[in-house]
This record gives sequence, structure tokens and C-alpha cells, in this order.
Amino acid sequence: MQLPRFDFLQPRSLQEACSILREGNGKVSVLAGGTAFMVALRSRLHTPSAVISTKALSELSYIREASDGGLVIGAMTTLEALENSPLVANGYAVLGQAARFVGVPPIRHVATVGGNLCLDTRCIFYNQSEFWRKARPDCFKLGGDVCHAIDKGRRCLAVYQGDLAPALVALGARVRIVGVSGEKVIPLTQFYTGNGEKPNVLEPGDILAEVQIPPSSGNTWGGYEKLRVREGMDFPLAGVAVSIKTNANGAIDQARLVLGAVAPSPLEVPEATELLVGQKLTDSLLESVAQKAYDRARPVANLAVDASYRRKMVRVLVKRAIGRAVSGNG
Amino acid sequence: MSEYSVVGKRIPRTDSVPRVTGEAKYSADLSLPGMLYAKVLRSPYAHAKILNIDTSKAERLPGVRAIITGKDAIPYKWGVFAYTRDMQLLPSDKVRYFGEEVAAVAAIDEDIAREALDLIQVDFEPLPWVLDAEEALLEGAPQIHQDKPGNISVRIFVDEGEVDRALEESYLVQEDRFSSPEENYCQLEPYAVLANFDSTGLDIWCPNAGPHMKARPLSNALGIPTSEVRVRKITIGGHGGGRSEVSPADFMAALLSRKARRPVKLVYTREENFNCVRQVHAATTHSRVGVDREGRITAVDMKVIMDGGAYASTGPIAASVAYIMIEEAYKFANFRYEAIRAYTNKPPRGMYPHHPRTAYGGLELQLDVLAEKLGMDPLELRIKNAVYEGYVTPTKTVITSCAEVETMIKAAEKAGWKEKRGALPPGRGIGMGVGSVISGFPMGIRGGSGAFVRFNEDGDATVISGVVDNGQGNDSMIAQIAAEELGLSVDKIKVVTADTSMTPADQGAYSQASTVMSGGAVKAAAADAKNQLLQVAAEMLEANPKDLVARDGRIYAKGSPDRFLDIAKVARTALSRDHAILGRGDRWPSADAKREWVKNPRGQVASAFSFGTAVAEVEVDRETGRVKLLNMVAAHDCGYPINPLAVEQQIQRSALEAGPEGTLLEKHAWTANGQNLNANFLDYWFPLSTDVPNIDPIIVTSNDPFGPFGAKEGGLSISVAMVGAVANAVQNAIGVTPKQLPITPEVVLRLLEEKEKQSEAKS
Ligand SMILES: Cc1cc2nc3c(=O)[nH]c(=O)nc-3n(C[C@H](O)[C@H](O)[C@H](O)COP(=O)(O)OP(=O)(O)OC[C@H]3O[C@@H](n4cnc5c(N)ncnc54)[C@H](O)[C@@H]3O)c2cc1C
Repeated sequence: MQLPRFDFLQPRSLQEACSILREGNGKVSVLAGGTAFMVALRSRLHTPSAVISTKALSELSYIREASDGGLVIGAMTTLEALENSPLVANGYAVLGQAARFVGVPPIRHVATVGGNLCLDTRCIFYNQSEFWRKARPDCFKLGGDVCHAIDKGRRCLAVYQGDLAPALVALGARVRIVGVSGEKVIPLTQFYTGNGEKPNVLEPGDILAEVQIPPSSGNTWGGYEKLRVREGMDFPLAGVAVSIKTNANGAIDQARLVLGAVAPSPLEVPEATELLVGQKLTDSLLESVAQKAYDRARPVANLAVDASYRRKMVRVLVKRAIGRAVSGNG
Repeated sequence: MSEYSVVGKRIPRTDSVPRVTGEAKYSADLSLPGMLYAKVLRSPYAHAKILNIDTSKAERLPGVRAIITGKDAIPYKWGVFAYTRDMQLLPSDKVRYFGEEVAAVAAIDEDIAREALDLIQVDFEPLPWVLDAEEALLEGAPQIHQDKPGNISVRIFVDEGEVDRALEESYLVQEDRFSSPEENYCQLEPYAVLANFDSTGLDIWCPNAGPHMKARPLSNALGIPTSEVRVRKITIGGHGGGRSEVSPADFMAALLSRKARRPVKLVYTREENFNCVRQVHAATTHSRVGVDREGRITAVDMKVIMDGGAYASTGPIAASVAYIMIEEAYKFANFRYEAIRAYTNKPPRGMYPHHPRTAYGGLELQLDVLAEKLGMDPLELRIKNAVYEGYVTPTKTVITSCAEVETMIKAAEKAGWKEKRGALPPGRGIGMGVGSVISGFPMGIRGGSGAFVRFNEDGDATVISGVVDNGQGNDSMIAQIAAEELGLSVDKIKVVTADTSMTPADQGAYSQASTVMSGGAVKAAAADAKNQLLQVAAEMLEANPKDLVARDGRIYAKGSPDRFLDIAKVARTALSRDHAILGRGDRWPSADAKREWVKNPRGQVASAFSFGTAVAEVEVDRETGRVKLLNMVAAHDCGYPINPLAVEQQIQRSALEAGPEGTLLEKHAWTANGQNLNANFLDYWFPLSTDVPNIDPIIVTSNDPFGPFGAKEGGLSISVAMVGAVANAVQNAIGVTPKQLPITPEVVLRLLEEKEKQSEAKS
């Protein structure tokens, strides 16, 4: 499929990039690794008048220890850099695991952290060619007023299928957003809207610049598990990230469990935290936690596999992710 | 096999390096001066009447050079057989599937062509549609072709022996229904055509499975003599059956070029290659198999319903291959097989070497169930039912060479069958499958292959053959055969192939015919050239030509290799004596010409038969239902390996196609209005390298009397056998018969849940 025509702009600074984006008012897009964006362009899911090159953003490629002992990761850092980073491996293992699960090595070589977090939501009735989509009325995500996935559906439930976000939410990450009138730092949970049509809070003129992760203590464990049909390439059909901190007695001090790819945004399971904190892990506790996650997950029939299967698998993935975390495999 | 100096040697294929370096040019890489770019307007309905097409606005768009619709097509309908002509290559009455061609534009660039499509106004009258084969066969279903009542595209019926009585008298009868959705060929090269129509006729470059098989329908559809259709040589990126026929793309590009008087290139998108070339039939199979106390198969009764999509395509063959493979794989006297290929409003389904997977794959699953009930090792049961040289099938085909049992024993040995079967830890399974395929069936006046061999003045030779190489290494294969026959090394052979303007006709790369037919013709042509050369050499050596041999670039009398002449010298001497060495040869199937797929399914079906046994080992994740393939072993009776390296590659390719692809992953899914939901490589689960385990290929020989140097074909039996092997391995691992292919995680999980429920109900 041919790319649509657009101008290619090369701003010299982040600020200039923001202004161009602002002026474009939604008709100008950022190109990072392009692994998701180019596919969307080819199928005309986006027809921007201009695309901004990443040259101006290249300063945003770094993984550093922060002054508070946490970790800061520039938005332009590649997933390959993430999976190979000793800083990430040491204390933030869930993130490295999630990165390793993305696509295939050639994709991770160019794909960026920012692009992954800004990934558009997906739906099997939306991620189709223009010809395919035109054969039926526009769905909510295309600006229409029907949903093709759910009979009489009243809003868009396209799925956020990024692998990194659940892991980062589990780690309590925040994101730094740079805009024309300055910058702000917000928790990653607030970055996502839960709205399938517009999955994140970025407004024209905003660029996601950095991810900030709070410091991790020595006995923090993490685990990420992903449902996919093939051993690579596939977006998650469900994902589970967990971060657990234990104390000297082996009891759980802190725990966060986050589901991916079952809703338009990553989904935290606070009930899991309640159940886990103060406890030592037992099989029956694990079972209850898995049940809570299952209750929260409400995938709908909008991906290539059955929704009820995806939901069932949440239970399995939760047990495995926690198992992986506590076994120190993470 | 040291009697040969070239064949039987492992050599890199001649096309390998150019393909890897990028030197090889595919159709989409070509360009000609003044070339235009084409785009196709496609149907947004599964079934609709075309009431009117208004192209006037599009014609006015600057840069547009030609637009064609069904009105530009002469009323010619393409069909593989006279009785299956149902497809106008650009329809004018109605569209029968979502994505069917409606009009095409040629413009000075692709963007303009694309823009022009939006300006074409088509008035459709949507019609009721049907997407399921069994529903299509019900009374009152929407009629897809006026002259095909009941939507029956093809019905194959074979009834030999006394099936009902034999089943009644059987010790055990196993009865099941298996189903599977459609698969895709997934050629890595999306379809592409370059056509140049000028006053001398048509030159056309496109992926094909036989250039001569394209030239004929194109000449009919364009109303010009076949000799004016020049299908040219080009590198091809995959066939798998899906490049068998003329494509509407060929026709549209040619017609646009004729109208615009400019070369026209049409390159399909990946989505178009998924939907608008050909797909592999979806099917259900109802199967009853009987055995006696000793595990001998008494009878097979099979009913297959195939979803043929909108057109007949290769329907009669496609609906027959399953029974032909089954009656050649196992020995039994009573056989009833009925296949109904129904029309539906889905993309047309074409040739696939081994479909439907539910028929032979289902049978393999049933044999394992029966073995278990009999307390027999499935290997033993298969050995007991194997066929042999001289065996006559129920429909009266004689098996001419056969090493089936040897493939069973060797595959089992290599896979550790005896040690593993029944002794694997929970969740693991090992399974076996057997397959047989045919080579070279009769195709009337188009069933033969011809070849020329010409000596050049520096002593090397050029082979001219109609054979096409679409990735399996046919060019290399004929070079090796010619080299052996002529006594030259392979690098002294140049090949000219697959070009209808200069190469003799060839049956095409169907029915695994290339080695036996095209290879056979080349061998005959080379023998003819060699005899002429030996005649000259005999005069020079003052010997009897009958006593001379050509080998390793030399000619000498048997027994005295030291008194030799260089072949180059002999070739030059011939020229100096006013004799150009030109050899000719042809090869025709040794099969019963009166056998016909529908009307007379009896008699010798083909010229050669190959056999294979596959063993697969799997591990099933009982919580997610995912099946992990751990190992695949495949033993194939190829007759004789012209190039063992190429045969091993073919065996591995077949194992891949049948195992992870056909049995575990691949399927299409549809919306209620007939839109293909996964016409892309993200949602259509084509296996990745990480999904493919080690594959051990084993070459077994049987020296076929018909094939050149005893060769048959390179490994296709495994693309049948491996389906049974993987399905049986899953059955072995979970203790339930998977009746739905592919066996995706969802399917396995459902089976496990059902099993649990049943055992709960029992206790
Ligand atoms: C075959 C295939 C398989 C894939 N599998 C997976 C998978 O398993 N898991 C997964 O998570 N993803 C997967 N992806 C999607 C994609 O490759 C990754 O999510 C990747 O991390 C996206 O990063 P990118 O740099 O390529 O983003 P791009 O494609 O360049 O951009 C994606 C979107 O984010 C916007 N954007 C990018 N950077 C910024 C920024 N700094 N600020 C604001 N907006 C920005 C872009 O404008 C665009 O809309 C897959 C893609 C393909 C093609």
C-alpha cells in the first residue's frame, strides 16, 4: 500500500517541534520509530498534512539514574536499548521483560518507548485497509456512531495493546510531557483516558518526553506475562504486569497488579493490592488475586481471538506473572 | 549411486545466490519506458448486481490514460475445464465476493490511479449472499451462478467395493466429523504484472505456475492467437498452488495496456494477494473408517463439503485430491467418497497440493483412535495397511514404485517413536501421519513437456524447456539432469525456461510434475544431443558410438577412459563438419487419458507416486491451550534425489506448511457481510521462525521406472503426512480428538474443558 502524501518537517529543537504540532492542530504527527505509525499511514488511518522527523527529539534517547535514585528514560530510547540495559535489569525487571515481549527484534531495534506509550488503541474492525473500512459505516473511532465489534455498543472500546505501559504502571511511573507553554509531569495512569477513540491526554503541541520511575528497593520483584498465539510479533491479546516488594519476613509490603490489552487503557487491579499486602503468598491467595483480576477484565470481541478466552487467560497470566516475580525469575 | 557424476550430488541451487543478493528481479521490480501504473476498483459487497458504471469523471482526471470495466471484456469465461467456465476475468453482470474486480485504471502514477478509483461511480444492486458451504447447499439459498442450481460447483463421487457391508462386518468403526476454515498461500511475493501490448501482441511478466497455461486463456480472453501472447521469464516468489491459473490481474493489465498503448504495471497489495488471487478451501469431512480385529482397514466412507468460494477454479481436481491421496496411502478395497464443492460469496478457492486437511488429517486421527481401541501401536497399524509396488487402488491405479513402509520405519526410528510413545510426561505427545501424492496426471494436449538442448561452440550446452521455477528449484533441477546426461558439469549448462515466445510447451508446475515430466523431457533432449555428439566422436575415435560414454566433460570408450576426447572439442568438430548439435525430447504422462475427474474417476491417475511419513512431538500448555511443536521428523520417498539438498529443503518446507501452518495456526475469519477479517500478516497467523522447531528430513529412495534417474518429486507427501503427525501428537498429549483444524489454543482449551466436564459427570 502506498503512503499518502505529506510534508516532512525537520524542526531543530523540541520547542520548535511543539509549535509546529500546535499549529498543525491535529494534522501534524510525530514520527518516532515509525513501526506503528507507518502501518497506520499506509492504511490511511491517519492522513496528516505533515510529519515531524525525529531529529529534534534525538536528545530524548537515554536511560539514566535519577537524582532520587529512580530511573529516567527518554521517550526516544529504543526498546532494544531497554531490554539490554543493566540499569533496567537491576530493580525494574518487569520493564525489561515487557520490552522483550514486543514484536520481533528488528522492530525493537527502532521502536521507541514514547511510541509504545503513545500507541493508538486497536480493533480488528478498525485496523483494516481504507477499502475494507469504507464498505461499512464509520465506527466511533472513525468519527461515526456505531461499533462493529459490539452489537449496539455505545462507545469505543478499542484496545490499548502496548506492552510497556502495564509494566510501567506497576512500577508507579510518571511521564513528563512537553508542550508549547511548558511541561508537566503526571502519573502514567492519568496519561490514559480509558476512551478507545482518544486513548491518551496529549493535545496538539504536546510531546511525551520522558518516563520517570520511582526508586526500587532491593527486594522488589516484577513479572510480565503476555498472551499471544505465536512466539513473537503478536501484540498482546492480554497482558499482566506485577511489581511486588517483600520485607525481611518474606511478607508482601507493596504490590501492584496491572492488566494490559483488555480495555482501552492499562487496567490496575487495586483489589489485588489489598489482598496481597501484609500476606505471604499461598496458592489460595494467588487464586483469589487471579479471580479479582478476572472480575476486572472485561475484554470485548474486537481482536483476533475470542473475548471469553482472553478473559480466562487473565487468570492464568496473573498466576504466572506473580510466580515469575516471586521466583526471582524477574 | 556412484554410477552418476552429477545427479545425486548436493549442490547449491542456481537461483539461491541471486535471490539472496537481490540480483533476482521479480515482476514488480521491472519497468519499461512510458510505463503506466494500474489500480483496481473492487466490490464492497459480497454479492451484487452491477447496474451501471460511470467512468467519465475519472477519465477527466489529468494523468489517467485508460479505464476498463466488464464492458471492455469480450464475453469469455475462464475455467480450467470446459465444464467449469464460470469466471469472466472482469465481470460485467455481477460481483460474487467482497473484493472482486469491478474496474481498473492506468495512470501516469499510482497516486493518480488511486484517486481515479474514487471518481468511478458504480451503481450496485446488493443481493442476498451466503458465506457457508453447507448453507449454500440448502434450498432457497442465494444463487451465485445462474446455470449452477443449488450452488453445486462440482460433485465427485466414487463408490468402489461394498462399503456398507464391509463397515457392517468390521470389528470396529470410527465415525467423526472434522472441520476447518480456509487457509492462504501467503506467497512472499504479492501478485504483480507488467504487460506491454503492442502491434506484435502481448508481452507479459507475472508470477506463474506454467507460462503456457497462462498464454492460452489470455489469448482467448483477448481474442488474439496464442502465439501472440508472450508470457516471459521472471523470478517468482512462491506458488504453493495459488499461482496455478490465469489471474484477473494478468487480464486487466493486458487490457489496460492495449487500450492505453503503453506498458502497464499492476502490483497487488498484501490484502489483494490474500483475497483476490486464490485461497485454500474451507471444508468439513464426515468420515467412517472400519477395521478388522487385526487392524486392517476394511472400508472408508467419506463425505466432504468444500467451500469453493465464488468460482470453480480448479474445483474438480481440488475436490478429488483427498480421495486419491487416501487410496494411495493405505490399502483397502471398499471406498466411498463424495465431495461437494459449493459456491459461496467468498474469494475463489484454488489448487492446493493437499486439501482438505480435514479429510486426510481426519483419517489419520481416526486411525490412531482405532489403534488405541485395538491396543495396537499406531506405527504397527500403519505398516499393516501400507501399500506396495504393484498395488492396485480401488479406482484402479497401479502403484509403480513404493517405499512407503521404509518411510514409516525410518521416521519412527529417527524420532525415537518406540521409546517415546506412551512414555512421555504429562502434557507431551508424539504422533505419526502418512501421506501419498501423485506426479503427472493427464491433461490432454497440454499434459506434455518438451525440451531442446543445443551445444554451443565452446562446448557448453543450453537447455530450453517450458518448465517454470517458482521457488522449488526447477531451473537447477533440469540443469543437473542435462549435465548428467551430457557428461558435463552443471556450470557448463545454461538454462532458458518459462518463456512462451521461445520455449516448448510444458504442463506447468502442477501435480508435482516438473521432475517427472519436464525433467524427463530434458533428459530425453539431452540424450538426443549426446547421441549426435557420440556419432561425431565415434568417427573421430574410430569406434562404435554404442561403446562410447560421455562423462566429466570427456567422451571415451567404456573401459578405456584414458583415451578420451574433450566434449568441447567434439562439439567444435561437429560444427566444422557442418553439423549443429540440436537435441529434442518430450515427455507425456503415463496415465489413463480416459480417466476424468468427475465423469470417469477410474483408471491410472498419474505417472508416479511418492510416499512419506512424518512424526511430530508436541507439548501442550494445559492452562492456555497453546501447543508447542518440539520436533518434526519427516521421511519421504522421492524415488531418487536429483539434488539431495533441494529434496531436503522441499521436505522441510512441506513439514512447515503442514505442521505449524496447516495444523496449528492458519485460518481466515469473516465478518457477517463477507469481509475477510485477517487479510494481513499480523492477524493471519503465519508461523514465525520461533514457532518452527527442528525439522529432520530423511530421504528414502525407490527408483521409479517413469521418472528421470528414478526420481519422483521433492517432498510433498510430507505436507500431507505432517498434518496427521501434528494432530495426532496433540491427540496423544491431551487424550481427546481435535476435530477442528487448525488446533489453536482456544480449540485445545475447549477440548480440555469438555473432557474435564465429562470426567466430572462420570465420577
Ligand atoms: C508487526 C508488528 C508487531 C508489533 N508488536 C507489538 C507488540 O507486541 N507490543 C507492542 O507494544 N507493540 C507492538 N507493535 C507496535 C509498535 O511497534 C510498538 O508499540 C513501538 O514501540 C512503537 O514505537 P515507535 O517508536 O515505532 O512509534 P511510532 O510508530 O513512530 O509512533 C506511534 C505513535 O506514537 C506517536 N508518538 C511517538 N513518539 C511520540 C512522542 N514522543 N510523543 C508524542 N507522540 C509520540 C506517533 O505520532 C504515533 O501516533 C508492533 C508493530 C508491528 C508493525
